[in-house]
Amino acid sequence: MADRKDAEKVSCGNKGDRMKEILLFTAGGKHFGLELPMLRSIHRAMPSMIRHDGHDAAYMINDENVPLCDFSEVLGEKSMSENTVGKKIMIVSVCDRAMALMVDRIDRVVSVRPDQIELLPLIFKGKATQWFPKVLWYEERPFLLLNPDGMGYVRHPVLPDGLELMMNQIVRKDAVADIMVRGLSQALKNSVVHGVDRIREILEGHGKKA
Amino acid sequence: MKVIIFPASTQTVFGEKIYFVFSVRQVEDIIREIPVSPVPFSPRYLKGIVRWRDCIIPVISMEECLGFDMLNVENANRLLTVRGGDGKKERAMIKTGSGLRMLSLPIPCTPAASSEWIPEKHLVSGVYEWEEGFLICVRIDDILSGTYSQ
Repeated sequence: MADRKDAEKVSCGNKGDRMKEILLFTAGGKHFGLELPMLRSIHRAMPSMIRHDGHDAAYMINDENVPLCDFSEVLGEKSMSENTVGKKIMIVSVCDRAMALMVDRIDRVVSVRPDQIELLPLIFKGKATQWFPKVLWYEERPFLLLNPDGMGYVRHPVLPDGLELMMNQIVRKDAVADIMVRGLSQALKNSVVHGVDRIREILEGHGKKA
Repeated sequence: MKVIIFPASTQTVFGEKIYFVFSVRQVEDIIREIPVSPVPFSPRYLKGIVRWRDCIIPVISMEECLGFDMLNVENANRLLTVRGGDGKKERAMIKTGSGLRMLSLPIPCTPAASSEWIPEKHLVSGVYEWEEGFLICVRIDDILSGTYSQ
């Protein structure tokens, strides 16, 4: 608890601290905010740019597939991926990588004092605080501030089918273990053969001397 | 010393109603319901957050926190602001309906034989048999600090 209180002082600051710019947006009928430095760009959502692969989706930006998160869908609303009319794509930084967030509406950017931002109460735990560790109360309304790093949403971009299969096989733990066991076995065998040869040479050398 | 007692919106247990009891010192305010903003990914008993006296505090259903189904949700139109003991800053608003009462101690009651019928009994510090039903004292500090968040 003390750690979180200390963090509060650091993260939320005092009245004298610099103003923060927060992008306000709406998704699933709820209001959210994002600290502006985490935002890379905003685009109009285009259905032709969305690629689906099972449960994963990607959005094509500048010839690059960026993992896509339909914010309304993850909030438990019905998936709106098919209906992108009026929606926006926000490209945000997540652990130095890009992620696309599809939201209903971008509202505006507001400049707020750090003391207008509070931590979510301690009673909230887990995913709620990972995604929304802070709250901005602005114009009589709370805006949950999204922490993209806490989303844990970034996955590998959607790959072509053959490449995806190969990647899956490469990362299969049992396959990797099998390769390592075979490698170690061969190395041990080579070592034993070499050792036997060396012993034979030594013994033959002693025999000749004798 | 005085206590605030209010009925839980649950079904009766062994034919008896359930009541929650808090020390008056723990109760800071009782207000009519104000808009509650839900927080995604929260457990069912956490109804959201509100702003109260320049603080953001959670709104909880004590019934659901203890694992009961909450009945007559639409009647829960009052919010009771409670805080942790020993000067702790953590607070929460508890949804409740009518039937709030302030009583002076001692109240004629005896410790209940069992609390096994409370699904989340680890969140309860005491259960008493009272003339009108069961009185439940909750571990509010543990609840507010999120120690037992589901």
